[in-house]
Amino acid sequence: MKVKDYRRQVEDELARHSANEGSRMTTFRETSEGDAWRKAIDLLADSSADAKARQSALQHLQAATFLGAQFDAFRPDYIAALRVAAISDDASLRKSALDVLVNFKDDFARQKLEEGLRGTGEPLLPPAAALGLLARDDHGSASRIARDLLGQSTDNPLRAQAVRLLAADPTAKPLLVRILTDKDEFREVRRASAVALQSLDPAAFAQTAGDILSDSGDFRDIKATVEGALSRTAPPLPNQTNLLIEQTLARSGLAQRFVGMLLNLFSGRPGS
Amino acid sequence: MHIDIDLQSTDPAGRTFLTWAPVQGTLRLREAGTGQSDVPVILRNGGISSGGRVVFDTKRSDDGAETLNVVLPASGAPVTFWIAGEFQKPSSVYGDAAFEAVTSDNNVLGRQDLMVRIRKNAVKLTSAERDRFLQALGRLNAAGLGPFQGFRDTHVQTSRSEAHGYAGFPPWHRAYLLDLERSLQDIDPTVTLPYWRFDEPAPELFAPEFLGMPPADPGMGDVIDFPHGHPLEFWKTDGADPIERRPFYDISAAPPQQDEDGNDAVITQNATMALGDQYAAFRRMERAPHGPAHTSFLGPINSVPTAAKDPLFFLLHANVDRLWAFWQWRNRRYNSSDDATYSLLGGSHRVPDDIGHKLNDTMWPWNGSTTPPRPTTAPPRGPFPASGIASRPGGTPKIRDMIDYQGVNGSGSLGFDYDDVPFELQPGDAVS
Repeated sequence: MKVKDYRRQVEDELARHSANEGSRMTTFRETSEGDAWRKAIDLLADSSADAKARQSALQHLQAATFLGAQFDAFRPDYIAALRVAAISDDASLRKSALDVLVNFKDDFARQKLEEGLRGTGEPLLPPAAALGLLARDDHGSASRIARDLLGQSTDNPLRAQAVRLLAADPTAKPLLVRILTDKDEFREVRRASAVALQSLDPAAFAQTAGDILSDSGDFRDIKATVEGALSRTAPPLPNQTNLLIEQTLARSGLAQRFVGMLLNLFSGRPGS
Repeated sequence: MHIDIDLQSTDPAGRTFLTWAPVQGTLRLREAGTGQSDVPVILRNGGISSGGRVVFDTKRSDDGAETLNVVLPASGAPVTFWIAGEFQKPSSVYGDAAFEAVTSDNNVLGRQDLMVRIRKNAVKLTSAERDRFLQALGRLNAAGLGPFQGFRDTHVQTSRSEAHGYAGFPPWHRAYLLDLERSLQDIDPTVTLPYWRFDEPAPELFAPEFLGMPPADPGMGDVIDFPHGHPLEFWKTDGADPIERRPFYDISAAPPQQDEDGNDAVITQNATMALGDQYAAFRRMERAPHGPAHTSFLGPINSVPTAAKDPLFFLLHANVDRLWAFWQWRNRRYNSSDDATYSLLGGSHRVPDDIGHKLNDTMWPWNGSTTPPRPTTAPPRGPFPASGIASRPGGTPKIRDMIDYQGVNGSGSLGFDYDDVPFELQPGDAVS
């Protein structure tokens, strides 16, 4: 389409929109924005208000945090309101408020999540969700709780979440290797252990991945997982690890496909 | 008889990438025999019929034709012409477009495979385009060990005022996206950054094979459930964090345009254009639709310091940038010295926070500054990466460098374009 025809088409569409909707120029209220934020904070902090309206207020306020310093004067009150919402009766609102507080690295949220998981306080979220949020804020504290939960729970989604968090625990390597190589283990837990081990010790991951790839009895999806990770391993790995990955893939019979790619990747050649 | 073809926007590896913005090419006869006459040739498309298409002109214009007749002098003197991607006819793979020079009896004297490389709506990518993008992104992240961490560390609390709340919000993010796209193209030069058209339904974007969804039960957490072997399955930032995200809205539809209280939320493209034709008015799009697009989800993407942990961030912001590009084209806003185009042209800084937002300010982190009020931590990116096909914006870009991204005013393009934003000269601006 010629550009001039396209311009005509766009202008026609905008004119139709304008006729239907009216100009938004008049809807912008710079001077009253602070009032709107104040009203939203009050609503979010109002435990007797409708949960859906409070959720909407939360999203409106959170969008305002993207405006930088303009919202800073309201921030302390916003966080106070979020803390109220975090202990609301409505599960969805609780989760939203905790999610935002965790992104702000809020101590109140971390404490509440920890207490819920340790059983020393009322759980505000189901354990897997709580553990996930806690990990976003504080890997160290989350991994301690994750180890405890892993030993106690038979809830597989929770165990998978717990395994994920062990990526920040340097002592967890043997446990992660054991889980990753255990063919009787729940598949998502094994996958989580692959991701965690790759973070914690890329060389150990490459070694273990090689064992899995050369094991004709292991599952195809787990093989796809470790194979994909090996093919995307980055140049910053130490040379020894690179060699190990090469040897690992060669052993697995997949060398033809991946070793060239890895060598190109490590040598920094583009488009490989 | 042979001819030499030289097209601008050909990278050092000999691959040619075009956008909608015209670039110059030259042709000349090589090894012309004694008694050789001038040779009339036709320039035409040589790619596949469903591939990218190009247009030609004798001058820099926005009205090129599918063919162009030129005469190559027997002396070997070069003939110049202009070539551009044909608007709305982008490539899907390298080489689905090509330029050919043929004689009147259809003898091909020269041919150059190429790609009309354009940023596209994420839901309109072919599966091969989607997979190449994801593979490049996965390798940039490299399970948390790759260069992506530098991008994640660029959009944090300490750099908030570099990028948000002032006039520089659109240009800073344009630079940030281009930095990422060039890094992806270092891995796979056929990749462009797709955009999430957040005012339209985009269920394909959140399909398992693309950016995925969390478990259906919110009680199981919000970590995205990728299929085994997915390029982002091992995605990590900050050491160990996976991608977490849960939409508040039904992904078979678009996010709501208004919230419960009647505030603007993810307003439509038409409504965004109706914000006004002056930059100061248009920039209100940072409030809406931009902010509510972020907060349409639970997860890191809904907060400034953590948003860039999620790859969706870059597709969301590609759409924000596309909206700016569309607004610029519609209102012809490429002259950076006009405050209708950019509203913080000069003068002293009103508050320390707006450093980095004036037209001639350099942008962090590419300027390498560690002097307050800039962030004092080591810049996680920079200098700005070069491109094989574009000389702009240089290693230390200024706000000004991001405005005329297509080089409408003749300065050369930044090397990207959007599928629905054409190149159009200002009236009377065609240059021979």
